[in-house]
Amino acid sequence: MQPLVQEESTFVQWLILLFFMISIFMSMFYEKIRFSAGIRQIKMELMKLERLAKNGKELVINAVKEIGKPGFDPSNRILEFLEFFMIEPVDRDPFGIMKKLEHLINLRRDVFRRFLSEVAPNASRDERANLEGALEATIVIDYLFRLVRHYLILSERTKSYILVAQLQLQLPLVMRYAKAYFEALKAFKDGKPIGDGIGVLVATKFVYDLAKDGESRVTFKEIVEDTLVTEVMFEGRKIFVVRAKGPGAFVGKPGDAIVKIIEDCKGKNDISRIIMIDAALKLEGERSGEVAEGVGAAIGGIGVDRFKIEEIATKYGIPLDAIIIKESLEEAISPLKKEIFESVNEVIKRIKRIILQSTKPGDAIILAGIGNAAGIGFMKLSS
Amino acid sequence: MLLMLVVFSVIIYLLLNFVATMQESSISLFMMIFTILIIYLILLPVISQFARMYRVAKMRQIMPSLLSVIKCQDCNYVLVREFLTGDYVFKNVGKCYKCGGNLYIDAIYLTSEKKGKGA
Ligand SMILES: [Zn+2]
Repeated sequence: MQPLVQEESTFVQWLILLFFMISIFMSMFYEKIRFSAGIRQIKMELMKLERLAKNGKELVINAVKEIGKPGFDPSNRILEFLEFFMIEPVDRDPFGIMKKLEHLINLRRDVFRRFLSEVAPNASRDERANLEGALEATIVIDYLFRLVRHYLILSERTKSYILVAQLQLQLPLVMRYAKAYFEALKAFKDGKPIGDGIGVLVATKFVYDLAKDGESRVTFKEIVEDTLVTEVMFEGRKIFVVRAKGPGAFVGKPGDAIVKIIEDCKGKNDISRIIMIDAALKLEGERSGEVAEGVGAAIGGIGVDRFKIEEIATKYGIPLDAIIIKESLEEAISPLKKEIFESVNEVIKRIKRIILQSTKPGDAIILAGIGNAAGIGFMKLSS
Repeated sequence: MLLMLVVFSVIIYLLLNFVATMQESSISLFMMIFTILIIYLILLPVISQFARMYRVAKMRQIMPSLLSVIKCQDCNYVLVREFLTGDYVFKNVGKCYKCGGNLYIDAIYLTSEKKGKGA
């Protein structure tokens, strides 16, 4: 018995020594090991991102060729255009920044449209809007790819473990965004309705539901660029319904439309309430398609429209109601999910309740359905 | 990670000390456990491969599909079909064969129901 134990214990000593060596080695090279493991992981994700960007470009180029039927090969022009940028105005001197921002946004859109009329001369206005949406999504994916590549190369050059760690932490989110924008690209290309269009859908459904009841007829008028307005009567109230033009991927200018309606109605038929419906980002854990009510201008984007609506509402003291439909970023830019679609009736019920509770017959109300109108058209009813 | 390693080596140290004082039969038991552990480690990639295959098969079963819901303006006729390029909500898609009213697309949405059960 005795020799065995003796033998075992030298073996044990060797093992203990080995473990100590390993732990010392690990503590010395811990960062190096983590660094190279991190770099390897980022490279793998970057390859996926590159594939997304490449596929996105191919999809857009093919869509432009197919829909726009240009007489030449637009590939190079499109690849060049992906680098298009807009320099945001200086915000150190905020006076008049909204005017400058609006000017730049209009300019940007004009350049986009001019570019599309060049590479897709045979596309209709709606198709061009869809291509514009697809192009925007491609630009985002391409930018994400270039950004991640930039930080990867930077951290490789500086051998900075901190940079790698930061990039590694951000990467899952970046990949989620990239995949979501890829879905958006496919949706826009085919003109499918997306989650963000739920506001537009609610406003249009509201109009047609009333029209079906025989209370009014529907004609949409384009009072400002890309934005449609119609009037319907509901329980003695006159309701101006504002939405983006469709079924192309338009977002319109709801701010301008609301300002125009209010100014036009001033004196004869003052607007007594503005109700806005929009999709809003949910917090994780909340149910998609959940409806919530509040006050304020429910409209996303860069803020130009919200600024205009808030200003005119304050000027005339018009109450602003907001109804939001909750969805995640991915859901907002990928095809409309059934559970989000099913909130339409709930929202219409709430709109009717707000109108009945807080206005009286004879009042004029604006109902604005905010969002991207991709895949949501409007029809002329026969009766 | 480093802390884990230290704790691990302490555990191993205690374990080996324990083994050193054990009887022969106990040592063979210890070796058996060790062998099982090694076999498990070798089999791990195979097991994870199977798990992935199972997950992919399940994903394929709940492939989401984009549906267009067509309704008649006058009667209660409803038709649900796959989305076709060119479809959009409120598009007129012809006359109802029942009553001659206008057919329009009432909804386009993504379902995640199991295939074959959706439509
Ligand atoms: Zn019918």
